[in-house]
Amino acid sequence: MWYWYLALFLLGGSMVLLLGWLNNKKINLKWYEWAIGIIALLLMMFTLQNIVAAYQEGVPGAMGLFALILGIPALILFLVDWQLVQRRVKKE
Amino acid sequence: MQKFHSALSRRDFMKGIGLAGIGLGSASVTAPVFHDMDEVILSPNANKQKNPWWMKERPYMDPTTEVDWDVIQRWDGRKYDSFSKQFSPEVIQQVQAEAKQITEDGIRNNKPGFTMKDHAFINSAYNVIQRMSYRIPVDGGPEDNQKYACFMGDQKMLDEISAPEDLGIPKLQGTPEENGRMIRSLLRFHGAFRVRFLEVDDRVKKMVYAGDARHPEQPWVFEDVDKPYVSKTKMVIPNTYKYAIVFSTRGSFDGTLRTGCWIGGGVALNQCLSADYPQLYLQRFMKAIGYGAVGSDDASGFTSYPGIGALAGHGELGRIGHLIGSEQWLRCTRLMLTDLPVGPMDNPIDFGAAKFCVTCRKCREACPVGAPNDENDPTWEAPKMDGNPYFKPELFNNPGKKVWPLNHALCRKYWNQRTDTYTNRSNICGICMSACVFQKLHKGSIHDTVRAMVASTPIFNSFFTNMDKAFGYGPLDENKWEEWWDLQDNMPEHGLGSMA
Repeated sequence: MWYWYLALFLLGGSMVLLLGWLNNKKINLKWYEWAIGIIALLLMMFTLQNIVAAYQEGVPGAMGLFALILGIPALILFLVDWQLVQRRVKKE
Repeated sequence: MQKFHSALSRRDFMKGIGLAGIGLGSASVTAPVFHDMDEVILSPNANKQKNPWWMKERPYMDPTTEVDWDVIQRWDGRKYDSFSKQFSPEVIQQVQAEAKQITEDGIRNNKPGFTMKDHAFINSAYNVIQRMSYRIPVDGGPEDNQKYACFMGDQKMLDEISAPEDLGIPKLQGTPEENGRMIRSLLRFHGAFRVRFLEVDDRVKKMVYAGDARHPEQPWVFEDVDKPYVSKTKMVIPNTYKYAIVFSTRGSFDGTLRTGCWIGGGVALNQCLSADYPQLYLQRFMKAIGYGAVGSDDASGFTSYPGIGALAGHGELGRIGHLIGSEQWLRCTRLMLTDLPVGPMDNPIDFGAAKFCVTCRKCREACPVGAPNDENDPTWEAPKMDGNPYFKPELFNNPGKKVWPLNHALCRKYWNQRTDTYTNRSNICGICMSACVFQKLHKGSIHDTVRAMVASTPIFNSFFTNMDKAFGYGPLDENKWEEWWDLQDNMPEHGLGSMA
């Protein structure tokens, strides 16, 4: 279970760093950029939890499939969100 | 000037620490701490089990499996046969020859699943609790007059307990709800998973078997007496025993995945009967509070355990012929009748399992002999077996319910093909159970997500069946069977839980 505490610590730390960086750069996110980012984050957490659970359940084949079917969409959402923010900021 | 650090001041930080400390202190003071059993029973935490939001409760005694209470009768377990009268002598001999071949290959050539270690496991894991128990003497006869002790309980275990009347004190009085909470807590302590209650009306009486092949001269009968007793000609259940306790027990997940071999067989022989343990301790407890409880062991049993489990809300009956647990993989359910008022009564549940089975055939496809039924929908009919004139479904099928009728004869044939012929220990298969889509440990949040969706709508059912196959859930390959012996500290205690 220690890995969940580590994951939450890293997640919390990353969020603090990201919010701090956005604040420093004076970047304000639009509501849809927040929404996509949060959905991507939840999907990534869902993916990681199920990958670990598949290992615990003794189904290693499922680990790769979870990464593929859930993890890749989560990454795509992160990329889309990042690009939305970057392009909007560049235009401004 | 750019700020590179947080705006939280030292003062605010210390204030936060202080508030957290006050919060922790308050929580520890107000958290429930129990000093005795009365506090446990009265605690608002010890309530009737709450079902998840997506699980629907059905009307009392109305499960998702249709039952015709006018047709269904008390099943006479004394006539039960699933193999010796179901096939020709030639087929039976062939099965015995196959079993001998597998045994020899296994023990002498280390065939996975049938090695010397596995032979030792299936023979030693057989649960002997009730067979070691002391029987109630019958009419002053010798102790082994009654073959199995589970009906009224182990005699020596009971003799150690004083009933309240022996001590000159009144028996325990409580409301059905208080008693229900008490019994649930007690049975959980002794290893039960979930505990539910029913009222013993005419329908529940029809669920109680009429007899057991292991004491054919002593059928179970209901009579107007105050206390149960055993005579040479019957085992009597008092009509005052108006309450039914139906509890479930779990089983080894990774042991069951090693099914079709002696590892899975040993797990089943141990854990199907492990419910004897909470049963015998419950009977002792009942005596100590001034009441009684009757029941029996696993096979052929006191009742249709999947059936009573479905009626009490432990799960649903599906294509598999076994009870599909509503929360987790269930090994078995047990029934005990008692005069202790317990409640509240539980309702059957619907979480979409029976509907799921309409389109799913994973258990049928996994079964090497095709014992689960292949029809789309459940039927009132008994199973059929073309090309076998010896087939007698009336020896294992009790009419009056609309199910996917399991072919017990084919199922038992496969078990017997893997009998340990050195000791004649019949193997118990569970390939269908390990293949079932609902057979999950629920470590992954995906499983509850799928269950919630299955319970809400059937439109994704086929998709989920295909995903379950694609993700590799189901029985383990033969080359992984022997990894069981290397689990060491990763072996879950009592086999319950996950390996990792």
